[in-house]
Amino acid sequence: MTCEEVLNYIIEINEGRCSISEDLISQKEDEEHQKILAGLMLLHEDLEHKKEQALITEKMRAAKALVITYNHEIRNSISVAKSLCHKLHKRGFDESSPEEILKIDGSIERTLEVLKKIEKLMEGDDIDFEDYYNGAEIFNIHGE
Amino acid sequence: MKGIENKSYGPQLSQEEINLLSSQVTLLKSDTILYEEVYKLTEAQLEVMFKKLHELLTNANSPQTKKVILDISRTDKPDAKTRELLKFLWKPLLPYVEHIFIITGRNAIANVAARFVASSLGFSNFSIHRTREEAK
Repeated sequence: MTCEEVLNYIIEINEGRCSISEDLISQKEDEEHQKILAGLMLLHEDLEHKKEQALITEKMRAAKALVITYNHEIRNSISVAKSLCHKLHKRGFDESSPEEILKIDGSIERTLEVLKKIEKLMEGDDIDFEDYYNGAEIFNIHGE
Repeated sequence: MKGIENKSYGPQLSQEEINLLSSQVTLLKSDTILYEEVYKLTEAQLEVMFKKLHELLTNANSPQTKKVILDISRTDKPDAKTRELLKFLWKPLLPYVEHIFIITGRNAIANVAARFVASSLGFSNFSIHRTREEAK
């Protein structure tokens, strides 16, 4: 195996490609030659794996920041709605409150619960991405 | 009991399969463990076999560190993700290991893959051999 051949494989790997296969390796008779090719092939695989992992980490970081930002915005709006709900019914909330106001308050409480759950999930590491539709991805929450 | 087949074990394993996989990790001598890797590595299979390896290595009634004969001569090349998993599984066991004799047969890819995993663990007490006899 010449230095030129090895350099060509290294250039390929640097560009994120690798034409070395297990079949190609097994066709070589010289064991040293096989080991060099195997090493280059595994190096390519490891580099690609690390690139994928780095991409997932970056996507996760961006997605978490987005979710936390929107969570904050939604929470602000919900807090205003909750406060207005209280004002609409001066006596506060009890069995005698108009049904509509109780329903609005119940919906607000449920939304707050959902927001709390999302915040808790964003703190954990048991989340990754899953293909959804047409190139879009959704969060895949392990154990949920 | 049937022998190890050339197939992927898992993700769900029967009790018979768990017993079969566990039987691939045996105590040869009081200070030597034989770990015969299967054809195709899977997360479930590795979990079972490493559990047995951990049990044998950490047995309080035997020498503090042991030699491990790791036979990967029949094993397909692990992908990068599985190599990461192997590093994760081996790391906590290394304090109990005196030396790992890695048997790769004539498989150049297995030979290099073993070096990749062992070297990245910072573990230098390993040697690579074609046959078990050569390792003795």
